[in-house]
Amino acid sequence: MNEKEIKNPLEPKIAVVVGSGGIKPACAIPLFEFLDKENIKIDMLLGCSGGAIVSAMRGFGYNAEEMEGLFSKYLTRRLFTHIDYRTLLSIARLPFGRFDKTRGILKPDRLIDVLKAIYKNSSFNSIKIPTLIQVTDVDTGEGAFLNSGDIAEAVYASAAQFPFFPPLCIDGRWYVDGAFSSPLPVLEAVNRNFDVIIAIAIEQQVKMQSKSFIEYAYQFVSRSYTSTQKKQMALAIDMHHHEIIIINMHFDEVINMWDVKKLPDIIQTGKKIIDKKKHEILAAIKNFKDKHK
Amino acid sequence: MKVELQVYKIESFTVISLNGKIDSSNSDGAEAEVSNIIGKGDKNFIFDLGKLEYISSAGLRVFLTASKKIKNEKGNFIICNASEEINEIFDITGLLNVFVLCPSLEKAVEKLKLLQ
Repeated sequence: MNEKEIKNPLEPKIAVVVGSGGIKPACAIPLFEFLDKENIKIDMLLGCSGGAIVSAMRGFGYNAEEMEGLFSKYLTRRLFTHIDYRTLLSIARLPFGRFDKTRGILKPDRLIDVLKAIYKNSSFNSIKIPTLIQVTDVDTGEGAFLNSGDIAEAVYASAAQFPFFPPLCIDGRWYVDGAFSSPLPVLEAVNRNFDVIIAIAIEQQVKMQSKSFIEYAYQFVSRSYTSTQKKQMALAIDMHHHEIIIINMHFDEVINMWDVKKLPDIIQTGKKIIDKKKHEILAAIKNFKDKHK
Repeated sequence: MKVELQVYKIESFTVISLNGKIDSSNSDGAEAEVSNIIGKGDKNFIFDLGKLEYISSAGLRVFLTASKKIKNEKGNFIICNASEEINEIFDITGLLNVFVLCPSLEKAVEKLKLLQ
């Protein structure tokens, strides 16, 4: 639906928000399957980081089965192994080391190419459901939303967890992972007056005794995202007027962004948790309709 | 869907016990009832959630609204006896940082005495 179209006031305006969490937001795919089955129309998608990949897929028009297929086809460990050795050398202040804000520990080319293939080199003009992508301005630390220009670039910027991935310049501003400012952008959905907000929150499991520097750093950052997310959620609940259905996706094991072999388990976990939350989604929609009869 | 409120006193504290479920179908009514109880002049409250089966975001707002009213009167309030599921809801919504939760009514009374 175009944002400017007028919605029947008896029907709730519905937003789906998919939060950050590396590859784990793929667990949201069964939610879209359920919403399709129940013929529940989404008015807006909001996504952050890994959640931006999923949200933009849905906004672009892929169904649940196609989304799962795309994840299986394109998500490989290879995306996370293209190291920028000059950045590493610069960390150690060794000869040939080089760093500026266009660089990260990993080179982004493979990931950007995959995203361009997924979204078919399209711009937001081709989006079927209005979609907002949460990013963070690396120069100011402020959050921003992208909903114009190249989809793949917006999604990459949203998922670019600096310093692992470098920032991307879009319209003169340098953006990184949206999770640095808002890992689960529910507040934006509240600000836009959505009545029913379905929020997929990824619970970050942390292995406290990790002996890998990269793994430990990644997990610490993930943990700080959770803390930010909780603070923003409390405010969102206070400000909102109807229902925010928080679907907390808990994973019993640590799943890092490069653990692509765990995709089937991620989707299976999503299915189980969505099954338990279906009645809350249906009740929130029914209660809205009952109140506005 | 209905939520039943039972109100009684322990020492000088007002205990509001909630029984049932709170979501957008009944949260307006629950909020009005709670506001009415708070407006009677008492300052220190315990919300006993031992019989509360389910709470949605609309239900959580009942506590946020109550919290503002109680704090506005320089009072205190504590939530107790929340089930594991409801405790998890308070956790994922960040409200464990906002509210004081105690595992039992007795502990809540002890804690409220310290806060006075």
